[in-house]
Amino acid sequence: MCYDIQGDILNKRITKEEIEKLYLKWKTPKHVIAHCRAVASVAVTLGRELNKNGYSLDLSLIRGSALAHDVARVEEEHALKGAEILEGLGYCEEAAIVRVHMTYPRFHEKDQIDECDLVCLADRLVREDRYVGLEARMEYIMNKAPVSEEIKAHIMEGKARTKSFIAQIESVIGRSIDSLLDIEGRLGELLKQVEKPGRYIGGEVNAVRKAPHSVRARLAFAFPDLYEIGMSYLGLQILYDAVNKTEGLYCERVFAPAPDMAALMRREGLPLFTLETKTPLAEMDMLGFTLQYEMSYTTILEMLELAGLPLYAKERGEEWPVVAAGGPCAFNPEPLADFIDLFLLGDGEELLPQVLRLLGECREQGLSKRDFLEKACLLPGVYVPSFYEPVYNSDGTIKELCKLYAGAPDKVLKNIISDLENASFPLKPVIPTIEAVHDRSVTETFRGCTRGCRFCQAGMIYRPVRERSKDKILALAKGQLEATGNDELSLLSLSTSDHSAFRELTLELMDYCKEHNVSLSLPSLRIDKFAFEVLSRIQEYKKSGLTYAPEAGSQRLRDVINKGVTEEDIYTSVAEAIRLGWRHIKLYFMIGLPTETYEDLEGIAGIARRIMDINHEINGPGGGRFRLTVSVSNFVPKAHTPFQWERQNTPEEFAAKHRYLEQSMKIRGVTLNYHDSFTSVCEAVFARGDRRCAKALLAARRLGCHLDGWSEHFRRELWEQAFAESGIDPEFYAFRERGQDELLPWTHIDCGVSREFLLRERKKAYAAETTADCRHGCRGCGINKFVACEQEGIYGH
Amino acid sequence: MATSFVLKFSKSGYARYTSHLDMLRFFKRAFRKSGIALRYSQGFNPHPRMGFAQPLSLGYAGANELLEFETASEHEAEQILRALDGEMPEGIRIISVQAFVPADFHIRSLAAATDSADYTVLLPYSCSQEELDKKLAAYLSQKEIMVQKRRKKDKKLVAEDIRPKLRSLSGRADGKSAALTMTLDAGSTANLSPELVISSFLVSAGLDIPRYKIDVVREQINFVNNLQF
Ligand code: SF4
Repeated sequence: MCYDIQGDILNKRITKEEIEKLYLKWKTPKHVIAHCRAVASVAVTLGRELNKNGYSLDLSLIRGSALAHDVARVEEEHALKGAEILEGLGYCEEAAIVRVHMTYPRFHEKDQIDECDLVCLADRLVREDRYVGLEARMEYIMNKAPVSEEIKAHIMEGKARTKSFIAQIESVIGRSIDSLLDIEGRLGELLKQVEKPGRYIGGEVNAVRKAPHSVRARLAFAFPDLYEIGMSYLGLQILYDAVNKTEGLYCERVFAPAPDMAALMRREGLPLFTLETKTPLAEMDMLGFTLQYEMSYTTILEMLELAGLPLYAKERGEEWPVVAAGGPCAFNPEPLADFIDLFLLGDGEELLPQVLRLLGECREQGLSKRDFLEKACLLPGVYVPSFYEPVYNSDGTIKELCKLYAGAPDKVLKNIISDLENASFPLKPVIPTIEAVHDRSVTETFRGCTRGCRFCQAGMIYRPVRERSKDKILALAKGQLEATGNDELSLLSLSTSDHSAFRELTLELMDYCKEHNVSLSLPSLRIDKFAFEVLSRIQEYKKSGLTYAPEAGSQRLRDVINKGVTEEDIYTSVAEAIRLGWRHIKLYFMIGLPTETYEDLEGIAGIARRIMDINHEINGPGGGRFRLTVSVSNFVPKAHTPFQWERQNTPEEFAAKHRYLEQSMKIRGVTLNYHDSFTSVCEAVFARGDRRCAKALLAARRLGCHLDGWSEHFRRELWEQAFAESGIDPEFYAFRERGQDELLPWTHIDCGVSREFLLRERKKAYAAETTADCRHGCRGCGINKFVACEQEGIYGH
Repeated sequence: MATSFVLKFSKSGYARYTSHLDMLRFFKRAFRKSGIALRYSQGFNPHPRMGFAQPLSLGYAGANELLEFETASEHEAEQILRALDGEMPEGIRIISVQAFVPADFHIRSLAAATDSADYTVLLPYSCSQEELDKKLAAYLSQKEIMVQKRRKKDKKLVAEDIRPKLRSLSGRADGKSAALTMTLDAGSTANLSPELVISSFLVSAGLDIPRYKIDVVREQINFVNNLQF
């Protein structure tokens, strides 16, 4: 019936959806379905590995026939019956494989390996629903039922043939099949050789277990840093929870392995795997990277490498998972555009499950990755970089952005959750096994900030302010504490004190925490009268010191950056603190800000001196054991801020300023900290870089850069070499002021705040004019075109 | 009803790679979560009265590990078991909880009363029973088994004879691998780590097996006065 097929029918492949229907129709038992799926995943993994080495095997054919090979298991002669069924539907190639799978006579020679070889081999390596390898599988067959000597000999012969076929494959892929498939069996040996094995084991309290084959789409949430860093990040817990709450979806986790583990995995050929089920990343439907800071980009490449994925999106065909990325850095996605299939912009707790559901549907219907991306780019907040291509001017600036797919939106607007009150929030966060950086419950009180500091990207891209009600916050905090047994609670927002019910909320939380022996921490607290009241009641408060962030040393420069703090406020507050017994004050400043002069730097030293004087006035000439820490960071201009056009200081300028501050702050009791300036340069290049910067990332990775956010792993000389080799000039990307009419690499990414607003703010900055918080009335940033601003004018106009 | 208890648990699978300190943190949290308040020590830096009879090395499985603790108010052992069960990560299983007052047995604590421990060491060593027995006999017949050990106080390497602390050692071979069973001194007076037995046995037997291919299970901890749990 299908001998006269046409080419196009030949290429028609059975879809997952159709196979599901067949399982139902032919009453395939559950355990047999699980077996089929395991065989499919082993066969596809082998096929993928061979394709990497020059073969061009049809992975859909492999997957389809493996999934269907035992569909008629309850019938007599199930292989023949299965083949008949498939033939009846027009799937002749699948049928041909299913027909022979029980009696497969001979594997092909190395240069002629075909799809049938792989399905039949996989079937011999899987017992029930697990890869066990040839030996274990054979032992099982021999012991299953008493067999005659003759059959035994026959089986042994088959085993020998299979063994030599395995050797052939291994010689092609350059590694053992075991190393590719038997992760669980080999992980123990690796864990015994690394410093903190607890980073790689999973199984934590509240970690989610689902049967991988029972879901429609599997996501590996990938955090490009170590376990203990990633597990302290609330965003991971929110998205993990939101996806796993959704039926049919499974979110697992993966973190960057530390250098010792990464080296072992490379040496042993063990691919990067998920913590929950120890599944190689290549087998997931989607990998989702979170982009928290630019200096994690090389680690993303390293993780892709360790997972065995081709780095460039265009080199990852149908057989590879979709690679997605989201988080604050996605607002200038361009430096990663060549590596990532799609970016998610804005609030993710609804968008991510939506995208995954879509992917599951597309996969079931046998649609291609391209089909999926075309559908996905219509969702709010989804940016598919391959649908656009920038064209450059001869001076290196961007001439225009060409759209390669007409259906893609011209501008991608971030996704916005308008109702945070009812947004998904994890009540049972995963509890890290090894001590995380922050081992505590965290409750998000509000999203967004409208103070309008002009250097701050978070203050722009998370607009507008959306609050959770006091009662909701209390309920979430209590729920989390009860479900985790944590003894510390922290509130999360961009500016703790700005919640509209902050006072009542804090008082109630304090009572609750006191009663339950929980310590409460209130980060980025504004130190005013109420704060002292609160802090004096919170246990052990004097240990940690008080923090102020004036950001700039003079009133003029503070007005330029729109940081609404006056020196008098600080001095009054510090005096009060010292009188109440504080012995440690921390100050945060930024240097290299637009219009900055040495007078402004002198202002920083002046503030430090004044605070030391205040201490002497209160504590006498000895001054007690008072310490002042001044931390100075380097200004990095960021996309979507009023300062997105500004130039960054060169490392030499920063160094001179650091020297100046060191000289002028040789004050007893004052410690000065500053950041490495070349790290800030790298950050600046990628924060406002375009697609060409991918070359620098790749070069840096090839030279061995990873975990660059860690000062002990950051290697300046390698980065300098990477920039030189790739022709990416920090001068062009970081130190150059950009023309106001220049097309910026992120022009097509819309965070909702208008360019006109940013320009207006920039102009006011140069005039040292401030802009008040829009809680005193709307300042016209533009976000209210898309969502109502519930906080607008609540302080009175 | 009591305020002083011993909890017996097992640690297997990937949970073996959870460190001693992380286990303490974990139990502390499990108690908080279950609502059973522990008694705290007095003094400047109060900490819960809770501790393992013997710390278990990172990477070892434990079949019968013991945690002793005191609660702030009276509880039934059964109730504690129920409250903690279900709070465990993969690989940690509570076997029993029983009331136990150390003073009744004239000891300060289980930690102070630990006397020895039984271990099983699994070697990927294919040999016959006879061959294994021969190697073990040769090993045990040494008058002294000298090993290099790092002294705690000054981190210096010193030579030590471990033979007196090695109470018994035997093995079973199934052709594919060998399982050594041993009882070693444990506790504050005399303590012998299985690591030293493993390394010196491998040398004596002329075996070249990397440490990471070897698994260790602590089967049981033994106490003075024949205390049993
Ligand atoms: S639109 Fe107006 S009220 Fe809304 S965030 Fe922007 S400035 Fe504030």
